[in-house]
Amino acid sequence: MQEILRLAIRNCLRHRLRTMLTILGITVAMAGFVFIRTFIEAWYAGVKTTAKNRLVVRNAVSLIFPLPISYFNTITQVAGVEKAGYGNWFGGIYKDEQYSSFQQFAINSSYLDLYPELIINPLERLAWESNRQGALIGRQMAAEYGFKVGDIIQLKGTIFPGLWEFEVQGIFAAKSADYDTRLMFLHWDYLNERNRTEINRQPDHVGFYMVKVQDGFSPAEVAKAIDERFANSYAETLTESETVFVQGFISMLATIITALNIISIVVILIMLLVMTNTMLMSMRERYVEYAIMKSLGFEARHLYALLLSEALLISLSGFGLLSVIMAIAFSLPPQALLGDLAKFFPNITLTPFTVGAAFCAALVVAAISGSLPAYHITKLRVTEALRYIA
Amino acid sequence: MSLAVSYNARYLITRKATTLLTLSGIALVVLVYVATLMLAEGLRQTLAGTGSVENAIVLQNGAQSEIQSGVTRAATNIILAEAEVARRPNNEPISSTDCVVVVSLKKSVDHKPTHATIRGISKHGLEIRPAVKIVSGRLFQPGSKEVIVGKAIHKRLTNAQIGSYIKLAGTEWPVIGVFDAGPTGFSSEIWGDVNVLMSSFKRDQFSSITFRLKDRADFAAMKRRLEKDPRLKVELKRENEFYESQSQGLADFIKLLGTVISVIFSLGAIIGALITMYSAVLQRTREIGILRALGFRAGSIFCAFSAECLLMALAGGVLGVTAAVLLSFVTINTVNFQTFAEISFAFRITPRIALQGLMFSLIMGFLGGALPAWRAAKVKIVEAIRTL
Repeated sequence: MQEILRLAIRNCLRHRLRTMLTILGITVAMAGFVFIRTFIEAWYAGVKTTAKNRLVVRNAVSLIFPLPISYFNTITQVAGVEKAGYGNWFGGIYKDEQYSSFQQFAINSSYLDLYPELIINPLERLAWESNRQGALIGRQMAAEYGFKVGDIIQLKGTIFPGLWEFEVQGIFAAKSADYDTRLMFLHWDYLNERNRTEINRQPDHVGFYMVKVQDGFSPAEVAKAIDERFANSYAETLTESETVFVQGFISMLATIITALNIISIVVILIMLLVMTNTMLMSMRERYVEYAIMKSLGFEARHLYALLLSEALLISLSGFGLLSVIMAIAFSLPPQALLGDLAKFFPNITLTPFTVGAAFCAALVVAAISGSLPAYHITKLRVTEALRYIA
Repeated sequence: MSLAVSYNARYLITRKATTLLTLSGIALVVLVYVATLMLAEGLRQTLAGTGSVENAIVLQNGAQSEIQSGVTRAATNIILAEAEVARRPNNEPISSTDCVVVVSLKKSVDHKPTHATIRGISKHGLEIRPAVKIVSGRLFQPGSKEVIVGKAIHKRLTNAQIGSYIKLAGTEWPVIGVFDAGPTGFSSEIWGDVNVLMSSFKRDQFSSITFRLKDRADFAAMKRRLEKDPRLKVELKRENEFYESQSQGLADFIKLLGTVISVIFSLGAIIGALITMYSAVLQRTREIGILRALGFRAGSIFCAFSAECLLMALAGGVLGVTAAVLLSFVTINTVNFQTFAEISFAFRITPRIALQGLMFSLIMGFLGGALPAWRAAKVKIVEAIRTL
């Protein structure tokens, strides 16, 4: 067996350029595969930062319909509700950006208590609470735009028209790197007041309530209790866990995710084509050699092992090269790697699953591309093959 | 020269397996590339076709979509009294004051929730959108709780067929008709009477006002005047341009992602072509030597081998584009995150996209063939003839 492996290595080194190109081809294809898989997983990154015992209460009709602020007291009285907060999606545009690359929520103060994973300086929080036009911004957003405490951020309203100015009172971080802190918190009270006096677009309504379920209570039961409380009212609620809520958002893009999954299989096919081509070429060139080996007493399984190990050597070298490239790529900032696409995915990480899938793909490709020529050879007749001219 | 090329072309046929494997690789890359372009184009055409250049649409200042927008009745009255608005003989403006909301409904396949756009239209709402036709059932009665459903979604939603009831704002609304607006965004919507919908959803502002212009050329001046009016706080857009902008984000995203993926994939296909062509040159070193000895110039050899690879790539390109054209029969449904609602659109091929696909395959062929062809051209005659 050891001899066969040595022979396989020698065979790989016979056409160095071809072997090198094939390894490169495998690496590129696998890099494409890893890129797409990482992309798909980045979509689900938001789910990881959600909590199952945090509930989102929203209007049952759809998210664009608000709920009256008067529900707040009722919700806090439902058994099993530990804390609650509320907020509105603000949807402002910064300067001449086309879409906002940070999210803004107008919230009440207790909303922040629902997110122990956010690290907020208590003094900064106090400063924010005492300034109605204050804002708390996330570290990623602050870094991206160079905002400091005391800066004024001017936003153009899309849902709430007009120019809005907010003063940065604090910069918060998140305990987990998965948490997207391109995020800005404003005062719901301030939004509501200007809405009531200038805009009159359903004032005294909130976009959603967030609820923390007390330990020992079932989140599903509490959710049901809240919805029952508002059944047959003018604004019925739909309460679900934060996890389900975020998954619902992702499933909106189900079609695109399916398309990407198909494309990631296409790239494996391309890899298979390149590899099979190389293996078939090598086989044709060595047809006479295999015939000689056969006549010397090598059995079909030996030749099979020879070709398979050659294919494995090449595809695993490709995987090795890929690992080196990935190690370098993921140590760089995402902007350098993805350019404009980085905007959509702030927290891109390589998961063990993706690496494992790429490794399996390398094995499968080697198995198929090695077996095909091996099958040919096991069928070969020595006398005919010896006459063969490549 | 032509002899050399036909010699190379015939070689492709002799080495069937290798040729086929390499051109399949190129075909797959072209397929992915063309498919993403077709998807972005299908989306663009669908949204652009939604509006007419004859019409103008009014939204709240700053609003990026109809669901964000609110235009007061007072502002509406002022705008529709303007001289540029086209009128019927009885002096009524040819316009529609719409109320647009997004509602969560269930898909008929898996009963999972999806978002559908509900649009309330006023009396002349159909007149300013002549592409919209009722294909079965009838139009809703003004002032009654009835809805008609767009052709692209009436099969996709539960209870959206004629005779069923859709639950909106707490009550059941009978579906009494299906309308077809062609390949436009309207075909993915549900329509009802604007006044009934607004009172049911407790809205007191319109989402948008669409009106026919007496003269297209009036638009710019009217836009300038109305947007300056402090009473209105509105923005004016040409209807077709507005709806096209509604797909910009998704179309840009698809194109960007598709291009990045295609470029990575094409590297794989180019390497495949390189391997094949290097091997082809190596195997034929002796033959190349003979050709050179016969008087073929190095330049001709380079051209002939490049042509061999280009021919193979072009065949792959044709295969890829042909496969992509078959996708035209596929309809895609996804949520447009700008409008927050589901939209249905198809892959669309245009001559330009087909050409782009073929060009892409030729570029891959050139990059994969040039280096090996260069090596072929540099073959030393005497040594080559001596090789076995």
